[in-house]
Amino acid sequence: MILLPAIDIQGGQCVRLRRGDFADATIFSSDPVERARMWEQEGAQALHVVDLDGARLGKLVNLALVEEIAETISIPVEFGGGVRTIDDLKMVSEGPIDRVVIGTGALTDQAFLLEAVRISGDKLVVSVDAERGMVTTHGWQEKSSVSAVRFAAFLQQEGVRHILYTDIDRDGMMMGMNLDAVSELAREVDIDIIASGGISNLEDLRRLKALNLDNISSVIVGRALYEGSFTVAEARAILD
Amino acid sequence: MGNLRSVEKALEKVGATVSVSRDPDEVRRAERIVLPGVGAFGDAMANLEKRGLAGVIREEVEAGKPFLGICLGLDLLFEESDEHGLHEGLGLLPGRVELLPTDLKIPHIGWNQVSIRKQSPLLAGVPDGSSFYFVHSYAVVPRDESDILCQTEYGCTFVSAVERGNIAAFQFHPEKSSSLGLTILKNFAS
Repeated sequence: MILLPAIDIQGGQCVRLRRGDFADATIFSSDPVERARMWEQEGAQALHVVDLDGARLGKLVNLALVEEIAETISIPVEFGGGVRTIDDLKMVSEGPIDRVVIGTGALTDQAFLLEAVRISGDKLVVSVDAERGMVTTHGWQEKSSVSAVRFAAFLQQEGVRHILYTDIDRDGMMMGMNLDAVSELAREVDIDIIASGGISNLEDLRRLKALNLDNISSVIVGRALYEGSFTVAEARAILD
Repeated sequence: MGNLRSVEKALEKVGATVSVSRDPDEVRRAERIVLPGVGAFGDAMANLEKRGLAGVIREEVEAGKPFLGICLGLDLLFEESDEHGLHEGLGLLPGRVELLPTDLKIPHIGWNQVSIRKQSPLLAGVPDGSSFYFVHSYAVVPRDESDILCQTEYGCTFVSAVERGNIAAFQFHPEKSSSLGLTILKNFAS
């Protein structure tokens, strides 16, 4: 399993939110590019970068900065936040970013999803942000009536290769991952799952790894790494 | 052309002077040639032919110029590929390109271990069994086993790097494989 340190960008700074609340941000670095370089030096094998301004405003805001990160480091970069249109996807795919995450649009617009699969193919990641099992949209601010498991099965059927599953009740709260939810999802679908939300210590990583579900290919860690609960090397010793 | 830019930046990081070019004369003048590439074999080959690059690459490599292929740049070295129909490659190495014969998910995406099959200055400082970053569905099948530099397991054993004289090529992406990837690029550039 691959560890993906998270870099969330708001106002040009590297921050962590609690439960996706844009007003509840902790600033961890004023230089996201330097922060990315540090994660690489500490042994990260890939990064997950989110443009929070983009997610909130529903358009690409900090793409140039994310591309600078992807060009500066020599590991794959996954990017999400504000990617809502086919033009957005085309723009991202022309640059150095390795994987692009879409959210809201995939749920509300099937034509968009199909075109996104066609354009971005294996590079496309669809985020499944769940609150008590139900999918949320618009930067986690609106709740839908679709269950996460049903949505994931639909995405698989439409040709999506990777889903990013985030339990938003847990994200940034340092209370452990919702393992029941993520394992239910991993058993329902065959496609690659990137798990996110709530990892707070090495024991959480051990428990995730112990699920022994091959299609949970990677795990995103934010606050726990920033607050020094464990290092990249310690995490990799468990996950590799 | 994100891949190009990443390769360019990574080579610059290890001290190389890089020029991204589609001009046959410039390729002829270069000290070394790097052929990256993501995408379909047939389209790439057609583009190389159309721009007059295929001939120049063949001539320069046959004359002994150091050549590094990455991903599709590895596949293109061989005689033919059955990716979306049968296509002819550069034919600089004997063998063909085939869909990965695996039961695991295709494309093969992610970090995977590489076993080193022969000594090479390009792999100086790279321990046997190191992991590199892969994104591919096809793999090369060299006819001459002595061309095999590395192999990797993915529900099958496939050739993840080749080397013959001045020609070397990798199925994985050194430019996305952190410090060990950069080590390989540095070994090539110096």
